[in-house]
Amino acid sequence: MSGKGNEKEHGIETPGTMVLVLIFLTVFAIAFLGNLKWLATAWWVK
Amino acid sequence: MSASNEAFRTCDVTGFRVHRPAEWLIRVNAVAAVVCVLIGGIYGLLVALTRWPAVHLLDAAWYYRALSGHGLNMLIFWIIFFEVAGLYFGSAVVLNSRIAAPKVGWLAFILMVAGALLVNVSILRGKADVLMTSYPPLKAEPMYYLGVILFAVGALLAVILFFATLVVAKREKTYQGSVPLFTFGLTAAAIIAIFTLAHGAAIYVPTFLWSIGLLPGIDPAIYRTVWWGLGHPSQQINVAAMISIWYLIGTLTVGSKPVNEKVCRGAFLLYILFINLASAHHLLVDPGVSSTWKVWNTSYAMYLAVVASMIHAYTVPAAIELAQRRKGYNKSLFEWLRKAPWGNPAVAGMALSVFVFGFLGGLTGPILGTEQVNIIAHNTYRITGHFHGTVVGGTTLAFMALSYYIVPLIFRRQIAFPKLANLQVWLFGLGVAGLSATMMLAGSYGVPRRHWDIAFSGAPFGVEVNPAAYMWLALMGISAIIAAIGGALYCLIAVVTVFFGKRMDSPKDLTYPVSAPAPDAGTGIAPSL
Amino acid sequence: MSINVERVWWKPVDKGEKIWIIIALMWAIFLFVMMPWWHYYGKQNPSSETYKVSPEKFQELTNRMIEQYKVGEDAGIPVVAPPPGSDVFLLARQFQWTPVLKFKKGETYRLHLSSMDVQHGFSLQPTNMNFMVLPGYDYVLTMTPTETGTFEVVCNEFCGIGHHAMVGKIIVE
Ligand code: HEM
Ligand SMILES: [Cu+2]
Ligand SMILES: [Cu+2]
Repeated sequence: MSGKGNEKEHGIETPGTMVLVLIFLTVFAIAFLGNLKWLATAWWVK
Repeated sequence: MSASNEAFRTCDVTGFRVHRPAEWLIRVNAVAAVVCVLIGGIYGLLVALTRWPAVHLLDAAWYYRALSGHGLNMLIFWIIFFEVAGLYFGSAVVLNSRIAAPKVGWLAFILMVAGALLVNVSILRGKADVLMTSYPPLKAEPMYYLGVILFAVGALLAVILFFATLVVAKREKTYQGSVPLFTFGLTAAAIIAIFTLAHGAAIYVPTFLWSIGLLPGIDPAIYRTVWWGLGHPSQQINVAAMISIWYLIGTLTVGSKPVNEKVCRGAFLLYILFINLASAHHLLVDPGVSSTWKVWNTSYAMYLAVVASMIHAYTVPAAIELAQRRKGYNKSLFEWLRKAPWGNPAVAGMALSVFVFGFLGGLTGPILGTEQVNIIAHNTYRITGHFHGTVVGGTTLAFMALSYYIVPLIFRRQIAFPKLANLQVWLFGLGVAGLSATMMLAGSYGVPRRHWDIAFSGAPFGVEVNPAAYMWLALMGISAIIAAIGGALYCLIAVVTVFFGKRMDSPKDLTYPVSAPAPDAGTGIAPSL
Repeated sequence: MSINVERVWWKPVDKGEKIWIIIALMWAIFLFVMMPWWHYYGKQNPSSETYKVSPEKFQELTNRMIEQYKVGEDAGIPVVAPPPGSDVFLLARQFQWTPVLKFKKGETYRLHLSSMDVQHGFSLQPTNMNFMVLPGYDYVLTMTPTETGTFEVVCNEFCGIGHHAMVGKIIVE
């Protein structure tokens, strides 16, 4: 099959997926840290 | 062999030996599932139109009744009927085996139908205005709890039948080597189901006894702790089933095979091991449990399950990318994705399911489950938005997508309105994405879930709700209509196909083709055709 | 056909998968550390101070506080201005919060929450803080208001058909 020749010996076999999951992780991290930010400000203290 | 040969037919598409009693059990459970999603969907639309402040459709009592009916028919009945059909398919059909004890399967089905009927009647009679969680001391009539128990016992029998069938298949050597990944994932789901249902028994039996006056009371904090031992891990059943279906759809549509199955299977094992105590994240702002208990259980257990989900988030698309690249779609980073068979509703449905689950349902879960963040999110609409991303945009959409294969293979009918099927997954997927996002946005302004009127009519004090929240609730109503049209189309296509669809006589009649395995990627599920 | 799935457990893991698994694990460890870290160094945590209390006892404590510190009435509900640092009781019942509370900005109060009947939800708006209120349990929140104004206490756990009308009030001066 034509695709096979392009595979590198030790490369990442699925670079597209790697890009997708890294985008996912970035969104995850921004959302998580954005939510923790409020904790320094509001009314309630433990 | 204990079963005679007439009990089997050979599928001309997949070559599977299909055990007819198993096939019938799959059929009836699938039909029951569609009936429930139809009822639940009608309730859902009514509820959504009530929460759209400008429409405010139902009165207070009927809003809570419809909400109870929506939660139970969707989250419990639709999902579990479909999963039972999936379990029989993943054991008997995929392993070429007979089903261990068809009579037990029928008993399970009858119990589940009876339970679902009792619950629905009880809700419609207005004797179970307690919502799906039925937190005591709010009390429903005994018939309601009895219905839930009957349904759960039926589901338990079905899970046991699944395990028995695995044993039969192994003993009668209907397959060699390991079970296929799809069946492996379902096994993980079934194992979680066993201890989930044990929690269910531990809490619903005493609650039933209390409702008929045999127990003086149920401690509300203990109820919440045990109930969420049922409520949370059962969502992991749905996740495991959904991911198994993602892999199966990849195999059926592009002939994919995971880059390395060990990784996928390992991730399923993580679910089994680490999900149970994560249910503590439902009790983060409860009295009665200590901070140490909350932090420890939510963090150590949940985050390893998060790792498992993140692994699947990689391996699911990677399997498809690999298969596509081996077919020659090797240009640029994303040619494999652009050239996927998007005209196939199973592909589009799966892609939407992965996307909505990941970006809306999945990543919001660990955020809401953080002890401190939960203070600003508990019981707000953010929570409802989160799980419409997981169990609706993710699981329900994956189930719908798989139906476009299961229905032709099991009912031997051609899908009615194939063009509409494509529209169906897009309407439902995007509608639910909108529903989930707008619920979360409204919730970020403190809008409560399970609340009839955010204008607070009849309250002693007025509450000024941020006008932005009103806008998000209106957009939620519009998204709900889009999702409901998508859901209605699913029911329409399913019913017309099953009862009036053209019969399939040869593999050529299959509405959506089963892909040959991608080169260099032999697979246990789709044999070379 | 016959099904034959190769044994899968001995094949080496692909490089891309390895990289991603390590990233995912590190992210999970980060999440794992964040929660306890915020617990000790952050300012906002759910309280874990809880006592068992009977509805009768809680009612009595609330009534005593109302008698001592009542300063008026609002919509038929007593308004109470308890001294800073004291134990303050907020009683939930279908479908009312009793009493209305008057706090001073920057002062600390020990707010006790409990229910006379079913489960309720304490949702302070527009600040947006949410806690559960259960019958039989006294949940103590140590609160220090940081802004003045009128705040509503919305019930956000379903407690019966009149649930939506269950609104209380806290005034901060
Ligand atoms: C057309 C599709 C759907 C629409 C428009 C919809 C809409 C809604 C709305 C508006 C609520 C009310 C939230 C509230 O007022 O508190 C709700 C709750 C809920 N929905 Fe859906 N939904 C849909 C599909 C589903 C599906 C497929 C499931 C499960 C598989 C599901 C599970 C739930 C659950 C568990 C609740 C919470 C019930 C409770 O609070 O007791 N929904 N949904
Ligand atoms: Cu209430
Ligand atoms: Cu309430």
